[in-house]
Amino acid sequence: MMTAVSDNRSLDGMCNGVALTARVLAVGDLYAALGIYSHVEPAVRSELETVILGTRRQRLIVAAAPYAPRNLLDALSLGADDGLALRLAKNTSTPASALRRLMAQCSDPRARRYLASHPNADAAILVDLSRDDAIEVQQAVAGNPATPGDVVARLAGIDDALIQRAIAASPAADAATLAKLWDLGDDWVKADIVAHPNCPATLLAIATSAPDVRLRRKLAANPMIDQSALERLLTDPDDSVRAAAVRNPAILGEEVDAMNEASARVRRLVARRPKLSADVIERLARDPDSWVRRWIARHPDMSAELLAELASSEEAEVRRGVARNSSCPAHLLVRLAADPAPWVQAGVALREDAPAEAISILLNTSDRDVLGALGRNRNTPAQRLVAIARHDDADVRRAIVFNPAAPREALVLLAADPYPLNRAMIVGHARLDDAAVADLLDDPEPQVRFSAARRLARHGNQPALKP
Amino acid sequence: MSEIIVIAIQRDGELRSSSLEAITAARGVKQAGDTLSVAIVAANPQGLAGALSVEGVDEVIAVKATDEFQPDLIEAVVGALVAERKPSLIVTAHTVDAWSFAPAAAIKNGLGFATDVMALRREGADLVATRAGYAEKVLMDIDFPGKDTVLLTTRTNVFEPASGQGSAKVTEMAAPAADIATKHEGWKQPADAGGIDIPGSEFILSIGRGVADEANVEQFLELADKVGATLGCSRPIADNGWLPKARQVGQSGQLAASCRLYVAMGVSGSVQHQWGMKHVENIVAVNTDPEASIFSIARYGIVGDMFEIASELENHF
Ligand SMILES: Cc1cc2nc3c(=O)[nH]c(=O)nc-3n(C[C@H](O)[C@H](O)[C@H](O)COP(=O)(O)OP(=O)(O)OC[C@H]3O[C@@H](n4cnc5c(N)ncnc54)[C@H](O)[C@@H]3O)c2cc1C
Repeated sequence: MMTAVSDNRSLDGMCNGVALTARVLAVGDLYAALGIYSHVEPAVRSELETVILGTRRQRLIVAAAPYAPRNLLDALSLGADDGLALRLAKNTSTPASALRRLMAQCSDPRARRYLASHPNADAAILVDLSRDDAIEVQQAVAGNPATPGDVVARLAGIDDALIQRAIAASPAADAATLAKLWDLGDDWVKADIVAHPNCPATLLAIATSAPDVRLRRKLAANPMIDQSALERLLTDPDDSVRAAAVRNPAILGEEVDAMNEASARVRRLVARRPKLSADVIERLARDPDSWVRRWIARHPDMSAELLAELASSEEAEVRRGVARNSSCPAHLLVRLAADPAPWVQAGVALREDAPAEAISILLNTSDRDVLGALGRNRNTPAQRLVAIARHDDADVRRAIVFNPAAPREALVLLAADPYPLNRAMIVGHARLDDAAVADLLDDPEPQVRFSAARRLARHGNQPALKP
Repeated sequence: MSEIIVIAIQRDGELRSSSLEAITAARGVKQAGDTLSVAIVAANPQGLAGALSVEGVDEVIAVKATDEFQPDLIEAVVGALVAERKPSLIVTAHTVDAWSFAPAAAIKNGLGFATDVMALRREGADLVATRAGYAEKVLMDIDFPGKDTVLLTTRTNVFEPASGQGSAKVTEMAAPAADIATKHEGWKQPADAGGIDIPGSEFILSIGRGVADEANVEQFLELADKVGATLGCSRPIADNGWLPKARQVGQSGQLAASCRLYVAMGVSGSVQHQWGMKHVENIVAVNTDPEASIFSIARYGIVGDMFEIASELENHF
């Protein structure tokens, strides 16, 4: 926290913290002021508020900004007019205290609907709003995952398709509520009930042999389904039901292994399962369907031999799968670094565990995707990273932002990058020094000034700032 | 009765198809008694006259000069045409060529001016141009009170290229003296996209950060393949190296220029992403957040989980 009075940090840092605040106040920059607001003493905050909330237009900007500090949004909610209230109700950063205040102040159903679906709305707010006269407010309450079970149970009695669908998917809906809903809801609601982890066993049993394929499909996706029902669904005549069953995390590996599946769609899903036997993996690696091979090429349990086989595949996407496989041995990575397809090379270049030999092969590239991947890789030689930071493509240069080992020279280049997004993103780099960040306080882009000021305020240890 | 002139553009001696689109735009506001001329600056303008003599064009003005990119020269041609012919309207395609000469020509000749025009109409005798404003957030109708001549650049891939055999007469015009202040170094082709064609695709399925993990991307490649779409993505997905940069849609990526159906899954709809797809007639958005900005431009919105919707979609193909 920066303060004008003495605290237990170094005099230097404190003075510079004061200097930053003084500068922001002198320049009157809304965005820089927003950046430091949470890091200053309450007394200084009220000074900053004159910069931040000076005009109605500024108040509207701040009320809608998800990056605005919560305490500022809270302050803004005091006596907010309809326009401000609507923006605050929509802003996902608005804290519960402000939402409660807005609920008491504001009768506009649009704003109340936003309050009812707000991720920070607490149980008390949701209970109150569930009694709102407007159906759209009640629908939003029903769809909010924080709505308590008793409210959900009460809303289940309302004859409204959207409320019923929301409740069928609500984590707070218990077995009794779902049973009640089953009698009221349409086929879509029933399908959602069958997929719900709290669905009563009686309803699950009905769905197992339901003629409606939608119900069986949703049932097959329910993680609470018992093994015998799941086994039955694995042999369902409809492949979309079998596909849903194969994706169910409750399924045991052996049951899937035992399947001699005719549908390529289902085999593709089998290839994505985390646990597979060596036999099944081998079968899938030689599957006639190329999507099956693409999926299995990424499977972590693939043996080195099978990976080598797929690394010679004619399909570049299969080879890319091998290049991205966490079990891919070093010698294959070296081979794939010289692959004719740049997208395969890029898959190797992204890997921090790629051997030095692979990296040195990749350094010959001029492909944007490979360069972008090398730019992110902490094992790319520093000189090459500097060259990437000077590349004429802004997207390639931006890769440096994601490289925790990027040398200072590359970072400074990014901080002076002509492309605003690159400057905005480099501000967050841990190795960019504060002197370079301080220069960005004058950036023409508000986003850059905000991030620069916030970072300097967080560090509380800024270098000498320009007046 | 007045004259409308289209400034056609060639590249290395070949006509740019966007010039034919500009002719369509101009033809749409031609009134009874108006003439429509097309001017072309090239080393062999007569050789391009046939392609420009489409239905509705009365005259092709052939300016023999160079095939090189010389915006100062085209600016001088515009100046000479305004002085000699006093056209009511000059139209050219909104391309890198136009960016280089149109603003200067408008200022120097005191013309009414609007760029990147997406629609053009007459209200009575008055011309009204529609363009986007505030980073594509609003559509603006622009009129030009008090302007005898208006210069417009038209957005590419919005107007159909003009076709139909015409019978335009060809007139030669001497290249005016121009103060050439720029030097053309050469054309740089965009990086090889490895067969990925976002600008040319009519159906794009795009994924954003909602996809959560590299391991999930393959599922959407598979879905796109199944439904016959090209897979596009938002910037963070390409930045992460999960999909090639050629698939990125938006301000720093590609323009979905030919797209008629754009399905955005797990894309919030930032202004920069919208830059590349907002114009698409049919946008379908799938997002768990009902407040996501993408819904404000979507024709159809689905508040839901992109993985659930994706597997539901698979059931239909
Ligand atoms: C100068 C500049 C240029 C830029 N150029 C581009 C550009 O060309 N293209 C571009 O895209 N961006 C560009 N950006 C970045 C842009 O500002 C956004 O950061 C970016 O578009 C956000 O991508 P996103 O929508 O994928 O991610 P986010 O904004 O994080 O959105 C992810 C969305 O997914 C939803 N979601 C999460 N999980 C699920 C799920 N399971 N099912 C359904 N939905 C889900 C969330 O609700 C959210 O709305 C640029 C930025 C700047 C400053």
